[in-house]
Amino acid sequence: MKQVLLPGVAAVLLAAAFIAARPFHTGEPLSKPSAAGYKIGDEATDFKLKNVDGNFVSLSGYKTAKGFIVIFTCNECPYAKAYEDRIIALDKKYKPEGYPVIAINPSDPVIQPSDAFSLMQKRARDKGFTFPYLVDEGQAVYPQYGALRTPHVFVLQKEDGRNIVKYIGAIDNNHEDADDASEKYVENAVNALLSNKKVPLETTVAVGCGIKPRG
Amino acid sequence: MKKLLFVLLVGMISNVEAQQEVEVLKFEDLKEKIKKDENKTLLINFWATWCVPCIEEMPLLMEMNEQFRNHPEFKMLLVSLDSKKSLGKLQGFLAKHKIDAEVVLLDDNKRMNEWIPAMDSQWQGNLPSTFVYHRGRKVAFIDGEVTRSQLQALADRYLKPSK
Repeated sequence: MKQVLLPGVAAVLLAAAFIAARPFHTGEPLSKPSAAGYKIGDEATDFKLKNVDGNFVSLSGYKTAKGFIVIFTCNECPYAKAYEDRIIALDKKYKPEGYPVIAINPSDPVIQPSDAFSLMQKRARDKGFTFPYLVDEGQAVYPQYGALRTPHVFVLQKEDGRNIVKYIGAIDNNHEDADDASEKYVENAVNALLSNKKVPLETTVAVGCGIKPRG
Repeated sequence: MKKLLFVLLVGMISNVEAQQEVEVLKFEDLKEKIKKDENKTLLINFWATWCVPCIEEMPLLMEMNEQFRNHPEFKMLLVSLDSKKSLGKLQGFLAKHKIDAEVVLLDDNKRMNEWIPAMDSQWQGNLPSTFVYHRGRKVAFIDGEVTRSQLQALADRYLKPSK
């Protein structure tokens, strides 16, 4: 009898404990840890992503580049739009110096229809983008970098064939007015790298449009 | 969602309703406000009218604000990061959506790299973001959209029924 009862009692107790425990353990945490991604000094992954011209682009294709200004951006975010002309200016200034801009659109067009491939092509055409504007198909690349918003910049420097992260953050400190930006973070970073100096400010944070993962 | 955007658009065009005063602040002013309410449970939500997930979570926040409207220890403060130039658009949005929590506009663009980490070292500037202070101490930082269960948990923990 004892042997029969015990498992029964244990089962009831276990079930009771489970039911009692559920409300306390299924709740979401009140604070989410920040997303993982690259830190300064990490090696950035290469990728093979489709450009608006239909060709695929990889960092390894840039044989003579000294590094890259990788910018996660998109079509409609007001911050991204405010920075478009400055992104073009960065490419014009630093591509000849060996640091071309590589723009990547991390949005899922199902969630963000304004970021459909055809609209990316139109945006690149209308604005006269001088740099590749790539689709992060399946949103595979942006989480590896740890891009959280648009625009979000990662300045990379080639070291022995590896792309090392040297700066992460905003383009400058005034999205609204380029002429009133007193801290040009990306320019300062690339200028430092070009003269073999340490990047003065390696990370910055700024408000931008959050990148939404699908599902 | 489409319906909400439509309502939003209509709201922008027919901005005729009474407009809420929106104080324009620097970060120091915001810190003062947090300090002023240090005897309360203060929920601060950073948002903007252009931020789609912010607009999506707004009904949940308004529901909480309504529920605790008369609670003497509850205060909700919505900190808009809209441009100062879009103040009119922001006020139109508030009127149209009947948002009656206190709204301030943080006009401190050039110092984002100072005040974002000052709010929380983990905050990267994503919107929306919500901070909860209880009696002057930060007790929650929600990076991204809030959920009903998070708000419920906060209310259960910090807001006892007032009567």
